[in-house]
Amino acid sequence: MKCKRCRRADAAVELPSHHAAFCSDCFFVFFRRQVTEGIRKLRLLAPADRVLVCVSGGKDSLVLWDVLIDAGYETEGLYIDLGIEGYSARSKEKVLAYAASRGKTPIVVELAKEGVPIPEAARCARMQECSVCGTVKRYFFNRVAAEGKFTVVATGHNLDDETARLLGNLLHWQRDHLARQHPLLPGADGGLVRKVKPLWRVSEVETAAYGFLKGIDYVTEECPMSEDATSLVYKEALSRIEDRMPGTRIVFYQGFLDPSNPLRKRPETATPEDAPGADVVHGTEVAAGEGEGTARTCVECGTATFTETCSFCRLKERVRKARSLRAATVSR
Amino acid sequence: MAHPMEKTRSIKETTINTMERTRISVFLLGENDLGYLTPRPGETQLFRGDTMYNERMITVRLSQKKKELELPGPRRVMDLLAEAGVRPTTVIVTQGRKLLTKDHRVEDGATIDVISVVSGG
Repeated sequence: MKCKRCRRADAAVELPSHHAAFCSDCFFVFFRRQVTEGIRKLRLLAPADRVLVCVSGGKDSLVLWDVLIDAGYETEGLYIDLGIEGYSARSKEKVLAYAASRGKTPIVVELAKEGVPIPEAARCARMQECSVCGTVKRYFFNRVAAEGKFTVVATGHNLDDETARLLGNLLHWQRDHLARQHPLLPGADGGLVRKVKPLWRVSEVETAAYGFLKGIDYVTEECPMSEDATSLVYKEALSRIEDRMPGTRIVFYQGFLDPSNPLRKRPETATPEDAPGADVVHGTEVAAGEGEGTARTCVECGTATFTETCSFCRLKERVRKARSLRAATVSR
Repeated sequence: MAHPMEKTRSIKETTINTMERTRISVFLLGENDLGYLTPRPGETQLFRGDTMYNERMITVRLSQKKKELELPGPRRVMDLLAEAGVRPTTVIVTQGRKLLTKDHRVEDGATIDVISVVSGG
């Protein structure tokens, strides 16, 4: 199979959803265009932005960082060490190696030092690991961005992630979540930083192919905590549809983002679910607060929240109580 | 219809039939004749623990499943994936530093890696 763009080299990547196949050089051009077009169309980033790229060591986040650096954006990486035995050490190694190859040093937050390593925090708080992880990550994304004077936080969510979440929200008629789902979550006064998902137009196969061809060494193993994530069920369903009808996923998502779609209204300001205090259950955002409210600061840590105490501080308190209870039981 | 995964077994699992197959191959070929063979009726692959194993087969490494298969070639990537029970849209397939398209013909003796692209959570 020959490249559909240069018509000379053998194709390395076949993309049925675009009726195309590309050699590696032409695929780089295609991929970067897809990302920059996604940024331009929804005005996700401005040239003057200071971008905090959240990197996990997986393909999507490292590819996102790579593309943004190549596009000339001012970026820094943020890696959150989740405290998951083995997995966290391996993913951190990949992040540090990639950052070094681009002359960067990522900001590292270690949850064990912060008192909330994910496995223990989930056990103590009797919550699902993905839910705890979402709460903690959002808190640190926002806190690090605000402290470091970043104007925007970028995450590596891709088309597959976004359509899986859309399908989940539709199947459960989560109208509030549908109204807010968008690659751009606006910031708000009080320290809520804007969040963007510049990879919303590219699929997982495309990011994996880009990462491989660019020689980005990413962690290929899955987070051991996400094995039973419901988002995987939605992803598989959509993937089977895509097998039979290539291009369905992008049509599904672009149709949803159409401003005339009555299911969603584009938020002009942040809502409680955008705050670090919102909970996430397997990719579906769930409000932590009691509905809409006004932004204020957490009485414990001073971060932006819509409730008196942010959900991160509430989580920390639950973990602290569980630890003291356990210590008391052991000493008896 | 049998699930495609039922056909694919790990090397470890299949060595249990080694003794039985050794007897068959010695009877058919003589002890030193280990030339190219097509799989037995009803089977489409051979295994390293098998005396009928052909050194020049295709090695398919499924790292996420911690599994390695030996399949007879030459065959297209999409056929190898079907044999391994993997849907082509959920993986990328590589050979060394080369990315393979699904219609790429893999020759005997080659080693390919099947890398899942699906991330969860």
